[in-house]
Amino acid sequence: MARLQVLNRSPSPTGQGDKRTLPVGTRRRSLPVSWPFAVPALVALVMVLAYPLIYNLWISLHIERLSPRDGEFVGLANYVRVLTSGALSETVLRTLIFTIGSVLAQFLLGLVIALALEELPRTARLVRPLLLMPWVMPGVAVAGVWLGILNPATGAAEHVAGLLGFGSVGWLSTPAMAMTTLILVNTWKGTCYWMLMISAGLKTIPRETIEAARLDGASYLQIVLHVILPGLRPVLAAVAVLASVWTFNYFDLVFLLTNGGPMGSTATLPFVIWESSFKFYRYDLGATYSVVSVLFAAAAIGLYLFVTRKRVAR
Amino acid sequence: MKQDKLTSLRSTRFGLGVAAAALVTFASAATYAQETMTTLHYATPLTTEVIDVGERPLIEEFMRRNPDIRVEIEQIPFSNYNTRLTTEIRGGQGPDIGRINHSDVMLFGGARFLLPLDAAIAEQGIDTSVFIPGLLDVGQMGGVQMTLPMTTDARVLFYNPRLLAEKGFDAAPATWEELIAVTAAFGGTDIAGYGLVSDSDFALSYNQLGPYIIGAGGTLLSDDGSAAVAAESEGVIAAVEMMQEMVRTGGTTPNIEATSGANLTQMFAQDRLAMMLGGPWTRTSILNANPDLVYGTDFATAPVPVRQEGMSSGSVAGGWHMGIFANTSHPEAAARLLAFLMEPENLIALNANEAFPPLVGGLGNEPWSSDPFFAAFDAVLPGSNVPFTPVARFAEVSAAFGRAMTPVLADPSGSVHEALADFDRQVNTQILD
Repeated sequence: MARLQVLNRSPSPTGQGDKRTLPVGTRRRSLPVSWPFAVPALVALVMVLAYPLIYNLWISLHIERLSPRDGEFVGLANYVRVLTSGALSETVLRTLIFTIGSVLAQFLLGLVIALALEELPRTARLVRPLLLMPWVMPGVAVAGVWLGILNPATGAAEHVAGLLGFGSVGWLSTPAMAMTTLILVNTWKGTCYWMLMISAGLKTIPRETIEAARLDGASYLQIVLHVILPGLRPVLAAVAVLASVWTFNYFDLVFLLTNGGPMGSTATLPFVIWESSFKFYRYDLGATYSVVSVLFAAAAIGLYLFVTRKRVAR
Repeated sequence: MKQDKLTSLRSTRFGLGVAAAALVTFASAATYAQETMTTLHYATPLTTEVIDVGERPLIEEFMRRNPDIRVEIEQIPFSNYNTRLTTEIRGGQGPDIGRINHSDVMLFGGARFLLPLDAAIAEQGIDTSVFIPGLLDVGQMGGVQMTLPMTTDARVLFYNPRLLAEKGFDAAPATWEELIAVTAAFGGTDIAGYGLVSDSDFALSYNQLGPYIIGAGGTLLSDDGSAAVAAESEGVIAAVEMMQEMVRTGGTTPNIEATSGANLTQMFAQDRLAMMLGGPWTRTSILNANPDLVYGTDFATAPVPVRQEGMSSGSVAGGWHMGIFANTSHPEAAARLLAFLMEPENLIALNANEAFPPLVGGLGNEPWSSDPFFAAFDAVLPGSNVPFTPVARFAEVSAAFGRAMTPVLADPSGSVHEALADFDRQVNTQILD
């Protein structure tokens, strides 16, 4: 029978510590004594994380749409319906356009700002807090501000466009413009996060490497492309994955700014989940869409873990 | 001294005993009162300002007449109303009685959220012959009365007499042809002739196309609600093509998808828009935007233009219903409150500050009969109806109609028949199941 191996941690005269000696041949197996203390946290995790996920999966396999057939098991019928109707592929495509467009724009703008602030440290101390403001503003406030700016009748954007000779732009009135505007607003909100992370990453690049490149005659652009960006790769990879997951799941801006329109052209996956569940009361379809969303998030998290593990392995 | 202390002690004990007895008696009375008092939870999405002049005085009067019933008003914001209700009811909770939007009656009924009212109507002696028949039908499911109408409304043409006069029109357009002509007169100017929006799932079906479709005898769904038939409905095709013609004149508001109803009201109040459809609430919105405007001079109302001269004007009617929720523990008390609120004089009082009573000849009562603002509404109400057959998926059908029609209105070169066929296909294959 295994016994707990008890280690006497008080120092012994020999400095080696005393161990209770067990008979020869006895299997030693040490059991951690801390696991009972983790049980409450595990219970909370199951209730808050596992139960909703499993219940969501259950709903997606049944009819749940405020109908007399609610509770009826239908297997994968909801998934078949979502996949064959074409709605899922269009929705995922829109979501990817929104995500990739936002992340790319945030990266480029964040990089430019971070590099600029690196060259102007005194200015950075004043400017950085101001640049943080869009990021800390709640999505509701961001949407409210930009709805005012983009108002076709009284908004500043239309007024400025008129002064520049563009006429009525219709920022939210056509599918292409609405998605572009959504990406722009999301970029305005999220660039700061990239700027902060890149600024921190820049501190890890040895100045000597940059100086050496400069002495070798490299231009600033060449230094950025061949010294700075490679040096920032681990940071950029991790930030890109996280920003992609957040943007992919971003609901507030789409709901408040465009409400999925015009004509459903900005209805991203989170919006469609909400619309299916809370506007049309098709909880089963909403659950189906959200399972798909979880799969995408799982893929992204897997990628994040792969990237960071690779980084640690080096 | 010793005797005084004894007396004092006896007095104290006596006093404590009396106090204890009083406390027990009071507690017992309170408990008894609670056990015999029925508490009803009444759900409403209205704001405090409207409740305070509408439902609250009536509910207080009900409680005075029924001292064994206490009614607690549960105010839920309109934007969150259905979500809260469905969440509570699915969780086994929820109010006892409350308002239900007419478009949600079939949905709530199909989900078994509502108690059938036929028995309550008979027991409480509710006279249903006073209601506008069409509104009573909206509250029925499979021939069973699930809700009773509480309010109704309609859409009419709001127009600016001064702007029309400047273009040579001394009256509001009465026919589609006149409507197009007046709209065209504003083409190419800074003032829009007609306001067109598609900012919500119900914008086109209720506020824009719906009134014209009903006036032209069109229908989006079959009579039994089992299929979408818009592409085969001559009235629907005619109404959409008429609106395309208006857009082609260049006299309608631009950016149909990005302009909201609130924008339209602002433009109208600022003399930048000559005509738009609106409901009884639109007057308040216009005056909020510009309190100096005077009805009759700066803005006026007229019946929705008809397809051809001599035809009766129609419109879209909406409104709230009242139902008893299936989770209630007090169906009899809820039925008594329902019966009280459904008395004609109470419906009139409730609607005085809100919309119209759902009664035959309801607008013949004060304050509507003496207010010229309501004359146009009185003209269209008899010919008004919901925009299509009530079905459980009402919101989805309306959203699908908006999504299908918006492109052909934003770009009037698009094929109406193809758009309607797409709508029918989507509704028949994905929504009506």
